[in-house]
Amino acid sequence: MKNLTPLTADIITNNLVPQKFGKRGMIWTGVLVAFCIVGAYAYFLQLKNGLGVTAMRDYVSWGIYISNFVFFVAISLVGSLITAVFRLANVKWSTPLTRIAEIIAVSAIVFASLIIVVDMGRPERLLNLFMYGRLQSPIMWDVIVITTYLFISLLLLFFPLLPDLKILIKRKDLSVKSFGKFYSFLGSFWKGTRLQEKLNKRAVNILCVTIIPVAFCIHTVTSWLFATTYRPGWDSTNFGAYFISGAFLVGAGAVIVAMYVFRKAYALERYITELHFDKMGRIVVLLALLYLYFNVNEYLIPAFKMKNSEEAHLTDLFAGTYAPLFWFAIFTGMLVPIFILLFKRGRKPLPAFIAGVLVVVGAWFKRYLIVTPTLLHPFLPMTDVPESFKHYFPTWQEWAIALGSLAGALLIITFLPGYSPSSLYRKL
Amino acid sequence: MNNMKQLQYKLRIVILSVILILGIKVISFAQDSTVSTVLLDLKYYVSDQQVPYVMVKTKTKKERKFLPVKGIPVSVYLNEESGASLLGKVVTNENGEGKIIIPASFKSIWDSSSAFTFKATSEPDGKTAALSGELTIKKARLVLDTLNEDGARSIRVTALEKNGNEWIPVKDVEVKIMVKRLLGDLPISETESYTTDSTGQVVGEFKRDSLPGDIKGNLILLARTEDNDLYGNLLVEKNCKWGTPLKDNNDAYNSRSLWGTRYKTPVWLLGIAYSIIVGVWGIIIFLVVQIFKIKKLGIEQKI
Amino acid sequence: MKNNDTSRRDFLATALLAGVAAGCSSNNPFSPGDDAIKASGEMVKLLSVDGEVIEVDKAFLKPVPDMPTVTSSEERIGIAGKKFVMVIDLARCKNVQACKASCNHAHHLNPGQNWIKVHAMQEAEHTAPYWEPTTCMHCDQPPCVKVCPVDATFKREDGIVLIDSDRCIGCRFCMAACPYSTRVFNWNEPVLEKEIAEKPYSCETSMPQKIGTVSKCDFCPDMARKGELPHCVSACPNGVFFFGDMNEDSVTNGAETFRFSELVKDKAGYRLMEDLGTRPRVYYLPPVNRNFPFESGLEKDTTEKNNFK
Repeated sequence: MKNLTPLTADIITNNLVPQKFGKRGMIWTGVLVAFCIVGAYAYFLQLKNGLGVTAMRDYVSWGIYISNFVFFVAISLVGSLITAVFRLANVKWSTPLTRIAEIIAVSAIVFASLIIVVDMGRPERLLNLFMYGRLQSPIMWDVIVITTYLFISLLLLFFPLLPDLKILIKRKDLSVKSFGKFYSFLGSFWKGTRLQEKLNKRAVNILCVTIIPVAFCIHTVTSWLFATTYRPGWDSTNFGAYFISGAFLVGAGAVIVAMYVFRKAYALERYITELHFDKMGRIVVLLALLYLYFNVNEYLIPAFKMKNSEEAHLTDLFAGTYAPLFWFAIFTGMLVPIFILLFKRGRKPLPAFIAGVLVVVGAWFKRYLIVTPTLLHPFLPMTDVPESFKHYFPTWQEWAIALGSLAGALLIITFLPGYSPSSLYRKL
Repeated sequence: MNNMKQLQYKLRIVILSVILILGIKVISFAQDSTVSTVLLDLKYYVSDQQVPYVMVKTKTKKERKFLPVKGIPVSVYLNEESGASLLGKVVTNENGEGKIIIPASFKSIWDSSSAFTFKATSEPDGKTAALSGELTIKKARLVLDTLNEDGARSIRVTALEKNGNEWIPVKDVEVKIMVKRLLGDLPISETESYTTDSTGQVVGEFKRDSLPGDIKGNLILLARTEDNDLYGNLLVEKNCKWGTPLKDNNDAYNSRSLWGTRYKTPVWLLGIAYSIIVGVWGIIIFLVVQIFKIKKLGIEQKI
Repeated sequence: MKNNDTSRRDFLATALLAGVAAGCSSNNPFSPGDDAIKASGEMVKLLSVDGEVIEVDKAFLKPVPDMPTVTSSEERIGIAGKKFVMVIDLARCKNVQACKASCNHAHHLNPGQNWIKVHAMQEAEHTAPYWEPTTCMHCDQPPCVKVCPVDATFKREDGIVLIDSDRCIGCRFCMAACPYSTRVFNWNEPVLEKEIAEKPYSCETSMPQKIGTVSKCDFCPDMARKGELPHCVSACPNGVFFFGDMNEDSVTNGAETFRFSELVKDKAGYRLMEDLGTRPRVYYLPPVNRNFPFESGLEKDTTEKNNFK
């Protein structure tokens, strides 16, 4: 980092400790909170009246809750990408990005588990999973692996945070009082001795090795929720790899978006440099190409054969009712970002940010396309059901809950670095 | 000439069809008006294993189908409608049926006569008119013998009618010979029913080779008359060892499988799952221990 | 000893008297255990076979509907010694939908819910259309049971797949897993008569339905315990459905009874989606030599891809 004035520890600390929220920050938070409240109210209605308030019915029995869940799981994979993969590969430039990635990962995995509870017909029976849990069920695998991943992500957030906590505890003037206590509880024992440093470093290394297979598990198992069924569009051996590549892409896209927003909001231009956007841009291109490759496998190979069971599903996606959404997701999620980020100019902060947003939005709709259209093409024709069972468009309650969960995740992402000291910074 | 004939022919068809349509209309109208009429039927059952009983059934005809009428109180009498000969009272159930067992107090009348008339009546109430039904029955029974000649298995059924104190064979009784099954009895061969000859006998060939019986290979053979005009429903059963012993195989249910219960998870799956869980959570626990180690180091430093 | 003997005989007499269908063996699997009922001392005289008077303790005279209730753990194991099976003869179906109506009525299903569906099928453009009723296939390797995380849906010894609505968490994975789309979900609070809604849930009757849980065709094991046929079988005017026990090797539609193995062999029976390896317990007889033209069932058709009209 070559900058005009040499960075000293003091300047860094001053720049990176939690900063007061500006007016824009307040509006941002207010909007998110409003979304959360509407979402909570919608969930209250759902609890009161049952899943009947959703547009899901016997054929489309999984809707945007599940696609939202898959989206959250996908995005949470970024924690392992940025932190573990780069650290193990000894990539130095990623250091300022790691905290962002970890926080996105934690908030996404928390909301993934929340949204899956929202999808349950009997959420009050959640404990049955532990009382009567059945290891043959992929849902059980998912429960286990999500819990594990949540713990590992928290640990991966915590260990590198210890040295930073010390700085913050010292600067009591800057931290909110109650948070100060919380920081003391978390990290007052950190003295930075050589032995402590050594233990800490070893712990982080172990975590980085552990989180990669667990992260692969979490998304592979999530893909198996679909791939273990017979349904056209889900019955694929390609699904695990397809999901993981997609998860890496959306995670990287989300990091670019977060980088840009934090950089603007907290004036971190000296830490998150154009170099970072350039490098992340290249990575997104790579990952988008990879995901595109798996998409080709996933759609074109079945389309070449056009098995009877797949035909209705595929033609519906390529040229039927879901075609606009399908091509929108392919273009915004992959092709357009690749096009933008291939050029050096495209990897400047603003265009890279736009490409990142496209990737994330495209990815959200892509998950929707993976879940819903398949269910509209069962093996036996849809018979003896009311007309409304044969279509699916989410009700306002579903939208409110889905958007509320997204807003909730953004709230966590907004607040955690805000109050976690020396965010974005690890070591000079 | 030919044309004329054709025209006449066409005209006739038109007139005929008009009449036909009108006729159907009238008939269907007539049917509609009789919808609420409730019919009362009686059936008599006796078997070699069961107390004789009378079944009453109340039903109504609607759209050319019989529908049961429930909740109708019916009294059944033997021979004459008087308090002394009341066999019992019953209210028909959801299927429109009610069952009356011949009470023990009728033993002397029962033994002394060889024919009876069951009379069923139902008092009129607000919804239904007074109903009555009658069934005359001659006392009879069936005898079932198993024959096994040169490996050819057959079943002989004899129909006997009570005449004074004697049981005499009767001809022209239609009987069905079956193997007893849980939900519907299986005929012993393709022949649907048999009719007794002048000796009151009929022989049916048993064609159900290697039909599973119980664990010991027992089958229950039975012969019965169905709603016979004279004798009602007669039934006789007999146990025989003509079946193959049943080998009930619950291996699929008892073995560990992916569709088994949580107590029957396949071992390989348990092995993989637990080794992964133990491995990863071992690391997590190790790391939590590390936190406490670091903490301890920090606190020691303070002192 | 002699005393014991007579009481045993009395008991047998009443068991028969109560109209309980006896199984194949003399040890009727459905009769209440000998020790379950205690003599009240009050005797009732009855006329037996051959006009003999027998005396029976009143306590033994139990009316049929009050059969001893089956515990929920027994409901999870099933009826001993049975392997239930269904045969559906497509040559006889003309989409009368009496099966569906009686099933819906008997199980108090809410509007929009159907455990039985009658599909208008046509394999290819030039092949014959036919009506295909579907129930739950009660697969021997059930994909729905594979994926249930809490044992809420389970496979029994007698081959039946049932649902425990008191345990179901409503994740609907089983619905996604079932290739026959046989499962329905209670999206809203089921509208039930108070009398039914207040009963404790029974896996065998699948009643009362509960909000937020899955339900489906249950092969009516409660009826089988009474020695009666499932509602769809007895309701069908054309005898399309045959139900029975593979261990007895016979299936019946109420009017006719066939040996299961012969019927399926003679008429070239098959199962739906055999290639998926689910091993259904419902067999179909192909729609050949049909009793009715396909068109006679069109007026009640609700199949989605209907291009036959």
